[in-house]
Amino acid sequence: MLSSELVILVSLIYVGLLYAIAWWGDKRARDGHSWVRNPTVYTLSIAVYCTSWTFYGAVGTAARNGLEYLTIYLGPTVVFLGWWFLLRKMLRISKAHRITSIADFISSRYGKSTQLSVLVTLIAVIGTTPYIALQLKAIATSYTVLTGWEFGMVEPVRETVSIFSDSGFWAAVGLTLFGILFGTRFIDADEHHEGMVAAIAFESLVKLFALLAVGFFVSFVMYDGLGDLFTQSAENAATAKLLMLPEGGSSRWLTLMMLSMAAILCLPRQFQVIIVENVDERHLATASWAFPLYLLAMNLFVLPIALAGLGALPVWSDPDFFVISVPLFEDQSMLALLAYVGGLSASTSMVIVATIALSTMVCNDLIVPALLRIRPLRLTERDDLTGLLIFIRRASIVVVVFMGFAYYRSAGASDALAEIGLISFAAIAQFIPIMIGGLYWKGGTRTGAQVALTLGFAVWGYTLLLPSLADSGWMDPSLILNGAFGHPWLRPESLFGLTDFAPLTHALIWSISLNTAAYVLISLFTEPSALERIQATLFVDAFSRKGQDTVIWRSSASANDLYELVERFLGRDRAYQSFRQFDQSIDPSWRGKGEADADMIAFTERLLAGSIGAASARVMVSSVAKGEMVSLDEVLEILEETSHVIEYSQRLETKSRELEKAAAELRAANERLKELDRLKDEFLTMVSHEFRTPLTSIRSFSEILVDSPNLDPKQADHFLEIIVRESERLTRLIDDHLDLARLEAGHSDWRAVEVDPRTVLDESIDAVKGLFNAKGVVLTKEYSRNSALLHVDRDRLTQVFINLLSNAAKFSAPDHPEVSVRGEAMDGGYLVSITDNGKGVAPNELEIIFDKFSRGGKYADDKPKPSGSGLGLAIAKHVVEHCQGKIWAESPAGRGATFRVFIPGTIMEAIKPAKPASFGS
Amino acid sequence: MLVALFIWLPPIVGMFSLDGTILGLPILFVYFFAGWAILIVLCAVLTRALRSAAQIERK
Repeated sequence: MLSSELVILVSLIYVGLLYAIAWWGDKRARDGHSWVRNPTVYTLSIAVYCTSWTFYGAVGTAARNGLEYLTIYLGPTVVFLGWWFLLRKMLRISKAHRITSIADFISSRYGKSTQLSVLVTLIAVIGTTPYIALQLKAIATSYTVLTGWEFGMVEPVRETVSIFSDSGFWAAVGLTLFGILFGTRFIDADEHHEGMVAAIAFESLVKLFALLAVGFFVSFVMYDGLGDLFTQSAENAATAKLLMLPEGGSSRWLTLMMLSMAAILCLPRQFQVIIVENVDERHLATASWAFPLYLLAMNLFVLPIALAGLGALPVWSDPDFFVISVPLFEDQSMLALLAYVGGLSASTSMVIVATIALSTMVCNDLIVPALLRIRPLRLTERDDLTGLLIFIRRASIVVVVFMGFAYYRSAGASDALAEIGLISFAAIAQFIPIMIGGLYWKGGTRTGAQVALTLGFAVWGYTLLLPSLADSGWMDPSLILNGAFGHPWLRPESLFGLTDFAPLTHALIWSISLNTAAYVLISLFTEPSALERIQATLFVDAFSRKGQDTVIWRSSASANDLYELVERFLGRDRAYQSFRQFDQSIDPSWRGKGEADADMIAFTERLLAGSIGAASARVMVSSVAKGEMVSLDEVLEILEETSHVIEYSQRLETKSRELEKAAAELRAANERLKELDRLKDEFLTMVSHEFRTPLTSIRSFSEILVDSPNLDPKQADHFLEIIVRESERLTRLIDDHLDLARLEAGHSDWRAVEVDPRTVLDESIDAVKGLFNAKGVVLTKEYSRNSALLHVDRDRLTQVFINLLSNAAKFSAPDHPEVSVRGEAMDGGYLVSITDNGKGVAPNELEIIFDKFSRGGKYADDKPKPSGSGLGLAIAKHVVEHCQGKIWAESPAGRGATFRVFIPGTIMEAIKPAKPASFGS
Repeated sequence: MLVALFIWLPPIVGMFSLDGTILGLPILFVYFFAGWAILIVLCAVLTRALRSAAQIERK
């Protein structure tokens, strides 16, 4: 039997011990010899996860649903085993941005949004209230069980007892005091509470020890080891089913696993101890296996205690408090007292951490942003705000604890511990979609997150909180039974006709699926702001980007303004110390001079974020720094644009060069056209002239013949002869002309055959033999031994040679005319040279003579009567060039002219030497 | 982590909900706690390996 005085005394001594440890931990930390900062203490502090829900409630769950209680611990185990993927990233980000709470974390990710942080804080506070109520209930009930066991009391009778004699009230007062003393002693830039961590680590040890002690007692004193315990339980039908999975419970199993995974990540107090209180990433690595180990040890004896309780205790005893009632039943009151202390540890540690975490959130993310918006308060101009901040935090601790107390006094006390806890978990789980999405998906936007969270929370309130309130008689249960507006589809526990699931699973299916769907869809259809984009990149790429200075303030602020701002929130000393870390040259009398650079502004913002939250810090800094922010992304965008412009201008340059070239070509073409036009005019003049000459003589002689009928017939014959000759010349002229026109236009027919140029030359010589003989020209012919096979039009080539030969005959020296013809195979072709012994060609005319009508001034002094068309050489040039050959003239002064034709072809080795032949006339 | 998720979710868990005992303990009970212990050891080993890998990288 334990007297209530003894129990109260033990409770007070225990809480006193906690104060002492916390005070000592703080002192050591201030002296710089913190022993709190090691992986063991870190792991034990994470064990704040095991509240009285674990200590008492797990046994209760085990007694009702068997091994289902394990899900609540397997979920966190899974998360910690996978720390490398998720927790490590959250930790890295939080350190870089000086995150102080889960609300801060989420609002930072979505562009430091104040609305979002307010929303998260509200959900966290409302969601945690049942949880705090649960702890108060556990403390009060365990006290009642311990002191009233003999009278069969299992629960405090709240209805008749005044608030002041309710042990839950005193528990609430004590916990509030503890939170105030060790959670809000000062406003720090990094929100580490060494004293609190030390105390809860100690509490984790106590509760583990207490539970193990009871477990050992049950297993090895009451029974003959675990095997005996299980064997006996298996014989009893009621307890035997606890050793199996509950029938058809797999959806609930899944739900609970998911919920507990969400809880370890999102519960404000878990975020506080895992992320905010962490000082070294390596501690997390240790905790990744040590914390699951702690959970394993904690859970090992849960089922045995439950089985023993069910087997031995009277039916009316509450399974939730077997941990105390089993030792009491066995008359082990000291063990029961130890168990009570263990339970007290579990409850107090949870309430302390939760209130501190929530008070930070309420202060940073709810009250301060609100106060900053109320302009008449002129908060931004007040001198010292540290006092105000501490007051807000203390007030919020009181509010949070007593909200839990109110819930405990009124509503949630009737439920089993685990069911209350699960309502909390389900509320907190609403953070999961936007948190995981925020960590791995850059597309998530603020609007999406806000809508998702609101929707998920609303569904949670309607499907879980409302029924829970209705159960306690606060509300008309008809709403739960018949649905809103009497519509069965709106029944909170079977929304839209979904009736196949238990209330918890049902609530989660709707809230999480609507939450996720809203988040994804709205994010896809909304455009994030610049700040959101930057933060999203910083969060998602936390490992690939170094440092956090990617955000650049494009603004101006005086260093002094910034310093004063920090001073107001952190106090004089801390502001000085922090700035000294930033710049070693700062001394106590330092009053910032001149403009602050972007680094300093960013530093100030981070510093403030640590004490008043990212969203508020932003508002404060922008109240001092005028201007806006440019992000790395924007800078990159600007760079990209510039490079686009450069590229564009390069393209333009290229274009303009091309245009210039085209213009030059056009000018050249124009010149050529003009030249051609001139040539055409000249040509026409020449052609008319050429045609006119024979026509004039034909006409004049015809007129003479007409006018003088009695002309001497001999004379008349002579005239007629001239007319005929001139007509022939005219015809020839026209023929040649047409021929040349065809050649130039490329319309003439070419019948290319393989020929030996010597044969062609011989034929041509035969053709002009008459002319040569008439003029008495001496012809010399000389062929080389080798010949070539040419692929040409035979008639055309003959025409060329005849033309050259008759020219040579025409222009050779009149007194002793000589023409020599030479043919030789060389350089992959055949070269023919025809030389006369006339006056030669003037050097400046060597090229021109191949033009049309350019007999030119070859023989300016004794110009012979033109008898050719003047087109012969032009035609020859065309023909030779058509055969890829070459024609040119050489004329050494005073030694006649040589016309050479070279046509490419295949060289043939001669079978017998060709004899040089000469023709005489 | 994935292994843990796999072995502790339905329907795998259901497969071990059997009658009978191992060393006098129910099979499902042993399944959970033995699996839990093994995973913890695996994680400790893996974490050590990761950390030494990180240290080598830093050097």
